[in-house]
Amino acid sequence: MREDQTKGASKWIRGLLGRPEMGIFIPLLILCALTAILNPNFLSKSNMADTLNYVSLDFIIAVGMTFTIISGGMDLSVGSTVALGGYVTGLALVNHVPVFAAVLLGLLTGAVIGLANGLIIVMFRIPPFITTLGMMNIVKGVVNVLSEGRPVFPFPDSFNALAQTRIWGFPTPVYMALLLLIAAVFLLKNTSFGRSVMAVGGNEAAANTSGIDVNKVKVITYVMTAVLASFSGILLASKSGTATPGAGDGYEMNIIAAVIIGGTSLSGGSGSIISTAIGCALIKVLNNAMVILSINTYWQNIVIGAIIIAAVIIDTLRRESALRGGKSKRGGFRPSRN
Amino acid sequence: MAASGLPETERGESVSRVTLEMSHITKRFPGVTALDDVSIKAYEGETLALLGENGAGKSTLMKILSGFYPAGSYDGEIRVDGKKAAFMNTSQSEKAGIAMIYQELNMHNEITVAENLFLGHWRKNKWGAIDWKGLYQEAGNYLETVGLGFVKPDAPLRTLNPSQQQLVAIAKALTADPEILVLDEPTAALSEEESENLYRILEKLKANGLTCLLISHKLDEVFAHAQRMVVMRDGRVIGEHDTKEAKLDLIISEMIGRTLEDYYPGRETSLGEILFEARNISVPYPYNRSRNIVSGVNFKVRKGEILGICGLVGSGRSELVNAIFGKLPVTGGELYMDGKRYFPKNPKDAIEKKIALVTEDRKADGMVGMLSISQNLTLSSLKKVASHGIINKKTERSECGHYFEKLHVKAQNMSVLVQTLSGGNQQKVVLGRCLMAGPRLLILDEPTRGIDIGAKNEIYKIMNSLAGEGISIIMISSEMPELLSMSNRLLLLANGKCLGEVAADRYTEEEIMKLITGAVPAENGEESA
Repeated sequence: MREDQTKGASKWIRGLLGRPEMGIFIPLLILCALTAILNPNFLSKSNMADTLNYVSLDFIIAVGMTFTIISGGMDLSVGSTVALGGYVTGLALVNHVPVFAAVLLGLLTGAVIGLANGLIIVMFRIPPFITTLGMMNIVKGVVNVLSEGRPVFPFPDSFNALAQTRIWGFPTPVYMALLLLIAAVFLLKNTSFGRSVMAVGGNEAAANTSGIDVNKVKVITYVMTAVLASFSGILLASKSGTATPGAGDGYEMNIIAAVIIGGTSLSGGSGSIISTAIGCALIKVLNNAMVILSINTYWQNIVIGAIIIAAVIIDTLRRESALRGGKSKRGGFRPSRN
Repeated sequence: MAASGLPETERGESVSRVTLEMSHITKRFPGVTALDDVSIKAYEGETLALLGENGAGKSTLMKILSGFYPAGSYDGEIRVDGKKAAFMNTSQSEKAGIAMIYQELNMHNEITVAENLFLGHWRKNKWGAIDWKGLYQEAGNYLETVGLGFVKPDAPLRTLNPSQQQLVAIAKALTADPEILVLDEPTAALSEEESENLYRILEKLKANGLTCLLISHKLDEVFAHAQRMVVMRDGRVIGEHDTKEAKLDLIISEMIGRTLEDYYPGRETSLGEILFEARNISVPYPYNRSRNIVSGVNFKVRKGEILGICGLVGSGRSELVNAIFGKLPVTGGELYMDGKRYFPKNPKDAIEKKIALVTEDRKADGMVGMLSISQNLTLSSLKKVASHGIINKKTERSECGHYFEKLHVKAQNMSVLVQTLSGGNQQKVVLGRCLMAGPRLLILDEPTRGIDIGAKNEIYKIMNSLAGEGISIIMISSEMPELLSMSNRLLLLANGKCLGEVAADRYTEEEIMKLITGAVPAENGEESA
């Protein structure tokens, strides 16, 4: 009886350790442990809450990015969208628009950006990289034109409460991210939409032949990403009590890095929301660790860059070994016919 | 080429030099023995065919020969020209004179033919730069050898047709000066005529002492062109035959491990009403929408009928069915389903109208390799297994289980990724996906391409039972015996025009070939069924 239980437990643990998310969760744990040993302050509640807050803000964007990348796309405009979403909401607030409407306006701005990205990509067949690179600059420009470089504030308390309220010591964005995590896992695994996203990224032509509306799926992923990015921007404004045009600068690379470190394939077709969350945590904890260990900030870029490359190398090696060790399977492509 | 000093021997007499000897090769993967004490010998100037169903171990054996699986990862010995060889990687095997041509050509469409030939081993001049002039000249020589003397070495590869590309692949293999050439399904994408040409060129190369190892599912080609054959099954050598004495029935039964009484299973046909009709249909070229590849084609399909579409590659047969399925535009004519006008907008729409298409190339647009069997099966029926967009896992499992069993998909369970399955099982999954959507008209474009005999037979049986259920089937195939045996009627296509319809049981293969190649004019036979 007892033996059975321990067997069951060890099987459960082995099952857990065998999950693909573990490949990145264990490094995160090691990093946390090391930092905690070197500086016990790392585990202090205030530091934890603060770090998790930043992880959450990133993760909210990264969820959309994960869907986009799984569908075989890419979105470089999320950083600018964070800025514009936050700024539009801020501008509405200082012009005495009610909080609810101001937030909705910010989200709508995101939806418009995402819709533009998606429609340009599917209608004119422009590579996502190029389309969203252009959009990144356009949106950045719009923020600058609107703001003339100046931040807007102050906001009503009810808006600031959105991201500053603490429940059991943790700020609200942490809980929002948690809810989003559950919803996104469900969306990817248990819905027709999630299945379609994976099919489109795995083999677009086959998805089309199977009767999936490929264009619709793609557009939805871009809208989703941009809405979530603008939401993150709104939370950022609420958290800091001001909307600055420079918010979200360089976010796109951090977000993409988090998704890739999480093991989502850049060529599309596979990925995991939970791994993305761990990827976001890894990057932010690394930042935090280097700050509290007083490592020169310039080193952070070097370390993060190295980790991105290492993550992809590990992923590639894992795939290749699966290819060679498993049943024989040859890669390669078919010649296109003339 | 491996020039040998030995005199040419008459084909069939095994007095030639042994060029390749693989003895007692055993290769294990975790949990499976892929090769179990396999020994083969090949002689100079002969074609040795390796036969067997998918999963028999042919590819694994060739991967050991090519160095893809390094020495040490298997037991046994390889001797090339009598010398012991232990290849640690593919380039060592190439240096030893072994060249591989895979089914999926590893060539680049956008660069020139000459660049493809010498990619990776450029001819350099004394300054260390690429000697372009010499390179083009040499490329010309190699092209001449494979009968492509008319192709300009500086033409981009994409300007060549599939059969010419296949010949370029052979030329590329020859640049490494091989003694042993391994060809994996070299004619899979070629028409009969093109295949003949390829084999003629191989004949010439063999006369110069080249040894060919041929892997092919097309047994008629093997019988026509190989001197000896080795049959493998479940990782073992089951039989070795001289082609002169080999019997087709015996070979097939050795391959599948049982006798195959009815290779093409018979069927009681009961035809119903007309389900689908095409009147005067035109379809443009996929990459040049201003010209029609199909023009003015008429046909009807009845319930429970199998209509075969017969035509060479380039006759517009695939384009015709892709247009019916909404993947290509229809530029002229009318389509009717159940007597009502039908306008194909896109595949989604076609599937909703109960039309399904199993495409020609399952890897390109039939399946999503990274998804599991069940995820592929439900891809066309997401509405059926989901309510309000949320997939009901129980319904999904039971729906998938039904087709998994019905089609005899061989896999551990339904969460296995489709890309790890053999070709035949992949094809069954694609077919299952189409069937789950509940089609009334099922279009099959080369449904048995690149799959083994056992799986082919199963697909034929499935087709028969579907037709028995009253589903109309349109089938395209390059394999004439298959078309003649499976179809009720044949629609003959040549150059995008309909030559006529014939009852499948009234014509022989040769007669049909004469018709579609234009050797004799077709009488425009009306629907005879």
